[in-house]
Amino acid sequence: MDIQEKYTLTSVAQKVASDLEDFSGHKILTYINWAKAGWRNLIETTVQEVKAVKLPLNDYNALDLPDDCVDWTKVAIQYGDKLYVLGIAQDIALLQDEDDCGNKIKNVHYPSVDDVVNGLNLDSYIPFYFSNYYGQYPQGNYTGGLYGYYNTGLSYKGFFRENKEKRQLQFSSNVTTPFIYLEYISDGSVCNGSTKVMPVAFDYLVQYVHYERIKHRTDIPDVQKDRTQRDLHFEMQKVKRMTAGITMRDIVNGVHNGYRMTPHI
Amino acid sequence: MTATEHAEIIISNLAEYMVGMDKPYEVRDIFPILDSVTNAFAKRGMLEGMKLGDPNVPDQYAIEFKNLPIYYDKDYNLCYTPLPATPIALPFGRGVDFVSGMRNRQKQFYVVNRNQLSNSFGGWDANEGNTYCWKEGKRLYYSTQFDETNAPKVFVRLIVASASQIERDAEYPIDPASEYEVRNAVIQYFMGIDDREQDLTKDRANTNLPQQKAKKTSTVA
Repeated sequence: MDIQEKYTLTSVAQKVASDLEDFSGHKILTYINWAKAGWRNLIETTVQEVKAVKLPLNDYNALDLPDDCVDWTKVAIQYGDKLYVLGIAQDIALLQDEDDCGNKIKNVHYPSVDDVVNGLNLDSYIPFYFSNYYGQYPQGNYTGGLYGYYNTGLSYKGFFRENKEKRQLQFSSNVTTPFIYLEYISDGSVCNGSTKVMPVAFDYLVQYVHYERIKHRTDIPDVQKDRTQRDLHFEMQKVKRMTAGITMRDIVNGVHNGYRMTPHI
Repeated sequence: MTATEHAEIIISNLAEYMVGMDKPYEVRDIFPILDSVTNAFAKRGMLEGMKLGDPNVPDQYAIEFKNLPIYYDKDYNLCYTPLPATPIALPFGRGVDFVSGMRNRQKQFYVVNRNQLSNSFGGWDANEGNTYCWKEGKRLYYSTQFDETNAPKVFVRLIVASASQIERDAEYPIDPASEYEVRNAVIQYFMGIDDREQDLTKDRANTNLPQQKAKKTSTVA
């Protein structure tokens, strides 16, 4: 077995079955499902994983957000060998027209509501200055979204708007690239038996499956359930300590504790 | 011991009672009864073991099948293997003890409940990386589509006694601790058959002999 494969959700399930001295493998799938739930729980509450994926646009210039997406952080397109981040325009039409056959009709470029920002036709600004600093607008108000890019003669590459109801990002008509690069916060729910897990989370996941296994059973005494839950809590704290970065709250706590420890004179 | 050896011992025990019989018992007559008695004893023994806390089925109750073929069912769009014998019903489908490819016994195909894959969290696609199989009727279905051109073969271990299906020199799955009881039970079965009263009506019906007709009694003088 490859050393990387030691830490998968399947190996978590195998460890649980082995703890119970059941070597037949008949309950592995049940344990894998619980391990997946534990992994999702861990990602959502502690690790807060950020993923970057390349996704195709659909035929009416919208991007379906992945199932495990909590929120997007960056949306970019590829130009040459670089990725350029797109900005938001809140007046892109979300409700698409349909033709007689029920197919969605793409927003057209001229004239369209989706190219209009604050009532102005941005085409008059071409070539566009993609910059974080423009004239009297130091916040980059007129940058059109391609931040940090200045005076190269590139036309603006488009905007997008979030459609929360359909879990989509709707892009303006001039986004013609077939793929969008999306960076998003994941809740960890898209995983399977071969998903690799962090070695520090392995013991937590094993403990999680053990707790799930007895949680709903009526023949297990509450004392044992409580003890398993307490062990699970400690494992969670361990993973938190080893994965989460230092926060402002940690610094404040450290200062408070340090102050308390100074001798009173 | 092989199934034939078990059967021969039983026949030799029966021999002293078979002196007056037209046709003595053969090994193949013993096999079905030996199977059913062994299965009954095996199930009792395994469930007693489970009560003591061991979830694993002892090796003594298992038989192994090598090089079983994999076929493709077009209607279901699933690959399957016809099972050579029907295993004993045990908790959590443990009747199908172990399944793997012939070439790699370490890569186990996990046996699941027949409804578990469609009900599992995330569905089938979320469980990639492993092959799962489940028993439906006389077939063992797989969650993976195998490439038929490689003629894949599987290794299956079942919890059942099936004397006519295993190879002649294979170990017969009988627990040595209950050998004596099994043998006695089989002998008693055949002794019981001999002791039965002859059913003349049935025999005549089977051999198309003319049935005796009731005599007509006329009251007319």
